[in-house]
Amino acid sequence: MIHFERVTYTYPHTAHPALRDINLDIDEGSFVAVIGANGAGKSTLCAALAGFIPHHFRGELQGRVIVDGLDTATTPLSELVTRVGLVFQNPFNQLSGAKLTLAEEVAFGLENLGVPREEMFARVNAALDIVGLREFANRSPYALSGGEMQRVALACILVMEPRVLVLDEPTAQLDPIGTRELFHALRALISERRCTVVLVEQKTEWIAAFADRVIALHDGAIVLDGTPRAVLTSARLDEIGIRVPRYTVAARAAREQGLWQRELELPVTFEQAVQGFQTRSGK
Amino acid sequence: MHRSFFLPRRSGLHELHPLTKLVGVLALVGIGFLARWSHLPIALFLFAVLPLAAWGRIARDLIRVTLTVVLPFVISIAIVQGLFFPGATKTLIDFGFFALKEEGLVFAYGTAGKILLLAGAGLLLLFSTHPSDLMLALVQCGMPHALGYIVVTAIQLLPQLQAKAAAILDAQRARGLETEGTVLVRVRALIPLLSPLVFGALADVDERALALEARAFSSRRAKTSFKELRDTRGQAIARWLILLGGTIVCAIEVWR
Amino acid sequence: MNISIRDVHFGYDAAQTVLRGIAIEIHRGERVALIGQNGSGKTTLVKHLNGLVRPTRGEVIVGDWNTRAHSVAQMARRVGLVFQNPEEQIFKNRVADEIAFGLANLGLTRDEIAQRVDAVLTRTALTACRDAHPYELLASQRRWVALASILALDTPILILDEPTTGQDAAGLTRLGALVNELTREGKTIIAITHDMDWCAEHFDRVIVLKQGRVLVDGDPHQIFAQTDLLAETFIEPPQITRLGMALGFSETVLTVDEFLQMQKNVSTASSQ
Repeated sequence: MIHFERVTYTYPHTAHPALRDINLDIDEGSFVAVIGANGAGKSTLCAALAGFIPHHFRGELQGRVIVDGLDTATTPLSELVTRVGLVFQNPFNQLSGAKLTLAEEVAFGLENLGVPREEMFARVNAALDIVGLREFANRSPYALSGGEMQRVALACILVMEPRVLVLDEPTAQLDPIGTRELFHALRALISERRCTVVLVEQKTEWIAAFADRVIALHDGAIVLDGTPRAVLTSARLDEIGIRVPRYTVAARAAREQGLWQRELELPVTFEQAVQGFQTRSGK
Repeated sequence: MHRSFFLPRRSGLHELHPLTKLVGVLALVGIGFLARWSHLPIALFLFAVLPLAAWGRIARDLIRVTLTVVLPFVISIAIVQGLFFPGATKTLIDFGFFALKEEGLVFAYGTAGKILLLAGAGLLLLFSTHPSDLMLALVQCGMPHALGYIVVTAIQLLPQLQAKAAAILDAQRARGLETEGTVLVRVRALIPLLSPLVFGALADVDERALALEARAFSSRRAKTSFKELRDTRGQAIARWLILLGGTIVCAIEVWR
Repeated sequence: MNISIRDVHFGYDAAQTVLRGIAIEIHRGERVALIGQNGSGKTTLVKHLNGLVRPTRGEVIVGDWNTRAHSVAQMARRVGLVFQNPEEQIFKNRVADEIAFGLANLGLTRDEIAQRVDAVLTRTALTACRDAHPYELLASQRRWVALASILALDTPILILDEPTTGQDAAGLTRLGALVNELTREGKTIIAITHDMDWCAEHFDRVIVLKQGRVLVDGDPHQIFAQTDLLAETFIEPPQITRLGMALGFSETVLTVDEFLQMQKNVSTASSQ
């Protein structure tokens, strides 16, 4: 579904490449998390996936990015956005600012694509159902909390039925409730559709619960690529500036003091941590 | 948190097609501005705009905005005109250095009436019509889609700009910026208050452009509409009649 | 410098009461975390501390200054407030100038200003960005610029509104270290945060606001033990604390060290 071949990209007027020799293959239907320190290239990767690089951001792109069989460099952006949906950090700025109700707001993308009105209702309702906001369909998009607004932004993209969904730190500006709501919406999405998801997140505890695969970026290059458990317990996380899940930190320190069984893999989720620590106590 | 001009109410006025309201407002303003009779603008405001506002259940809001915003403006014009109208001779009140002249006041009365009518009719339209509906109507008549979007969002996002300005004021005051006192102090405060607004607005525009792009805004396909504007044959006929009638009246006035 | 918040009530208008009788005493050198749902009144409360907002009823005394009797500019000498959005204050073309802005308002000499700016740049790891345009930096770096500009004012009291938003691991560590350093220097730090893990690791007092009232106020060990009460206002304890609870610890743990200590006790106890 997604194929990056020797991709190197430099923003205009900058010397240092934001992405360096990225080689990546992502299968259809997988849920991939991308982690990295600020400035490591995560947003750049998202933009390249959606075709905003090179169409919106000029700069120098080497290599090829193929998404859903289309080469992003040669396919027009208006075509690419129907295949790859992109959700950003700031909920407020993703709303069109032109619509009175949630339903109209979600339908905005369909209006732009010239979808017939009869078809719109079903798609809008389906999208609102997935994010759990169907009952607010007639409310103003601005009379919502940050978390709700972000879920609307997600619905606005889902309604266009993209094959790939890219989310660039969608919970960065949300409080814990909003974060939880967004992840629940993602969970609903996964169970209903065969959508490939690429999620950029700093909150590694959530990633561990959702992703099949985690990719770590450092200074524009991929330095780690594997299962959540493999990547998030890697000793390299500290040096590349990524937050290690608290459970992992606790277990690693415990292991050094003989309080965590040596043979037992380090945990990345709450459940794994509880299980692991209970094993030690012989329960 | 998000305010806009539009006031959602259940009223006949709100149900009208946006073009009907637009045409009506344009006719009112056109006739009021071009007519000879000096009392017509105020008469139209009192006997056309206000009853329509009552029908739309927006009378109270309309009156409130008129009193708080328009009236002070109008009064200051009256004073200026009354004192400085060129070529005036009939003095009403003499203050010594300045004198309040009759011609000036008469002119001011005329101007005041027109401003009142313009503002009243404008508010009538804005309060009872959601900008996106108005734009949809205009786009259906042939206005470019992008232009419609820009105008709608400019109107809708004004409150957000206001909120941002307030936040900037707070942040800069918290850094010791003085904002009250002499003119010099206030002038010095302008850049720290306006620059972040501009920078922020530009950065926002950047982000919004991306988000719009991601929702196929620049797609070349013919656009459809989720919302249907309700129109009746009666309204369509009325619009043509008003347009015709209004044009004739204006033409007559101009001819004279 | 102590802060005394005495029975403060506040509403932006007659219809909306945001604060309903807040009474808090904060002493010099405390590290206080202010937590609570959105809309509980946290930001409004901290705006009372530098006079941006004045109570409709009650008093706020900072040191010996009643906020009603002093302008915001005066209060800014005692209370530094760092807001959430750096974009709502940045207006200079150079990071160094942006940081120096508040200092000019304090009436320092040019040399003194230059010195302070350098010191603050080092402290916030922004020395390399000294001459950069703030909008060329990453968003997370801009937050540090805003923080630096308030830090430079060297106020005895520093308030941070959601400082952890958008920070990566290095940023969080640096932020925590800064909080510790500043309190060692005798400053009082108040932070609004919804990052419970960060809060538990760096603050010795937690105040929970709910609908304009103080729900609980005290040592984080006691506060985070009250899971039901916190659940009412949708607050979850820090992850380490939850882990400890799930393992049946008799005491609340907040940090990895405390956790290990308890786990050690549990292990030695069970092996006996």
